[in-house]
Amino acid sequence: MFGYWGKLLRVNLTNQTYKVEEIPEVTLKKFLGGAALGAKVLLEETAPNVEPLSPENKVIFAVGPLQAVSFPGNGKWSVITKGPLTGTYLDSAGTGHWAPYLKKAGYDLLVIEGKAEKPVYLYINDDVVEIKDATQLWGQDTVSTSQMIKEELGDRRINALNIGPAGENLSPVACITCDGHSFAGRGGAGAVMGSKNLKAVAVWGTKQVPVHDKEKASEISKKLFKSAYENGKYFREHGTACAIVPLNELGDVPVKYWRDDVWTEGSAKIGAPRYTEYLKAKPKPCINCPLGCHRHVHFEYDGEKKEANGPEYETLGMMGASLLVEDLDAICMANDLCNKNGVDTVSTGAFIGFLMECYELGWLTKEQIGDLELKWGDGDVLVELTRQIINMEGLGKLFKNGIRGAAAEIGHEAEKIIVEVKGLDYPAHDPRATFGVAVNYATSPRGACHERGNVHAGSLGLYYPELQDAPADRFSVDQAAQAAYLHQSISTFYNTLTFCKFMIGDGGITLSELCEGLEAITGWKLEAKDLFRVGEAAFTLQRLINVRDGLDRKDDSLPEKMKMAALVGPRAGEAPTPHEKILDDYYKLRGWNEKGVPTAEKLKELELEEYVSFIPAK
Amino acid sequence: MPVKIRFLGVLKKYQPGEGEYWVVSDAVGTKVSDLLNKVLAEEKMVGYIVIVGSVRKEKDYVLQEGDVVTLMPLITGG
Repeated sequence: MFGYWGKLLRVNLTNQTYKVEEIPEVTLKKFLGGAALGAKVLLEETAPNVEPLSPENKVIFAVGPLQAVSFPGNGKWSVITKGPLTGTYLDSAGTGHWAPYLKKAGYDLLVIEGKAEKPVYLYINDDVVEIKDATQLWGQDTVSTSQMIKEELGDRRINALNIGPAGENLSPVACITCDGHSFAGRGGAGAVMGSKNLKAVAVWGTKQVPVHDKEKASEISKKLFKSAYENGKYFREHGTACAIVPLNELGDVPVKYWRDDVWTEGSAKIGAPRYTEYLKAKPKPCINCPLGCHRHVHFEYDGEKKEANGPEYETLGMMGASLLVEDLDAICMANDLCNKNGVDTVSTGAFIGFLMECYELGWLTKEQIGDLELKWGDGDVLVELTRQIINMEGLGKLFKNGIRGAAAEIGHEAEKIIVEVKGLDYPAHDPRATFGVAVNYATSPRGACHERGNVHAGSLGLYYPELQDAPADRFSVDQAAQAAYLHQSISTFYNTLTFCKFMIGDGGITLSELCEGLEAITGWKLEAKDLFRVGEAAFTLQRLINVRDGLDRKDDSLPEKMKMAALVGPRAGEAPTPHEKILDDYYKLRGWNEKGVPTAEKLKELELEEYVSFIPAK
Repeated sequence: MPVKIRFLGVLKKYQPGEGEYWVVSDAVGTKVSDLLNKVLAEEKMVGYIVIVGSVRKEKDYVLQEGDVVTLMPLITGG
């Protein structure tokens, strides 16, 4: 076996024990790794409807074959669990400088179960596995935690995934952080770690996994590093902020919590090139990254000059455009608060947009808001509400069960104005600008998610020449399902490889070139259509976890606001409806029945026949 | 036979003429980069790759008779 160890490290926090288990090659070949392998373990080892914050839930970290060598974009890792925000299957991917070292330590998969009696962190160094006391780390922010672990272990090379105070406090939007600038951000995986009293997972490794053709793998890797570096010149200069202006021109960026349609002057103020110039932004690359989209920025807030990791596109969308906040210093401050406390900036921005709209509609009581005026565009309100949401105090208390809980508590017609699927807030891409985004969000296993399909990127020009003739027509109801099906399967494949999507869409690496690299590492001959199929199988397996737990068509919803077309702007008159027709098309493409349940025939076609018994009886 | 060049997504606004393709009758033997330098001179924010058929080529690829070229912008959002 090449490219893998075939090893699973299982750690039980309740018993303070660990063991190493074999993963058969046939399993690795079918699932590759990451979110596919993790979904398989989660489905097989957790009971239906396991309570996300209970000791019975598991938190699984996974990498794939690319971490066997120095390959561009292989800094990704996936965490797989049942998510506390949605109650659904959840996987989330982060980067930083951790993933290749889990591989070098000798493992493809790390499964953590049970619950420690007191705060602990896990330390893995090749064959050494220790559960260490984390009492001194509890309460520390994500950056301090990382530094303190390096100091305690006496080795600054060691990186620790960790949670901030939000994860400790079981915030449903708590994330897992790596290096202070990369996050498994969405759905609350940080709270699952917190519920297990697990503060961090520190890893170092020195082993070299066998590679099929090491020389060839090295040659391909060097070639792709070079081409991605050259192709990614502009992306490296401006990061994901480069997308704000062009996406606003398409009507993709959310404006005023999805109520308005264009924000041209504001977008120019928060997007590149102004972002880069005003914040003196520089790249802050993850390991093995020729692009370096993460930012190091300089800003000033409340009279204090600061340096920190900068907001990326989604944060600019949800904390900037969605709130009409043009103040980059305030956005950077709110972003930094979220990063250090370990909170998802996307949902936090969505919560604030929702609150501002409720305030405007007069649905918040004086008792709830105190002296705060929740005005659109006010950067100080953004920062204050971010603090309240992080600390789950004041108005932040409303979100202890996410946006749905807050809407139920506020009453009036609040449930009609929230923009989410399965309880996960929409990220910063508007389906009215690209119809396939709507069904993508509706059917994503973890709730509304742009990482399960970059359908919006098709409108910018992304396509896969090995798999399609051209990007879909963005306003075509008939092409919407196909676009979602394609992009979801490919994006899920990336999360299965644990590979950064930007290497393709912003570095210009093609699926065929990726296949060449995979063959050199594993010895397996793969084509682009095989990658699609792996992604499709993984997506189906993740869907199966949700349908086993009672989810179906009723949960694949389209928020009310998305049914209302703009009167002006680049998407005037357009809305991704009728949603039910698009869903029908989509289920047919996926081989699911009219309720959205994968059929036995489809599972067999995807070589998932061993999971037929998980299909609900009715 | 002329060479056909398709500009996708955000590059579409730089395509000379109307229609799905820019049809160039005298481009055979010319490097893609030389052909595009003037057309894309304004574009400062987005990289792009050259795809001929379904295969990525370098920007100094020399155009052949009957080539169908796609220019894919390198920008995907967050």
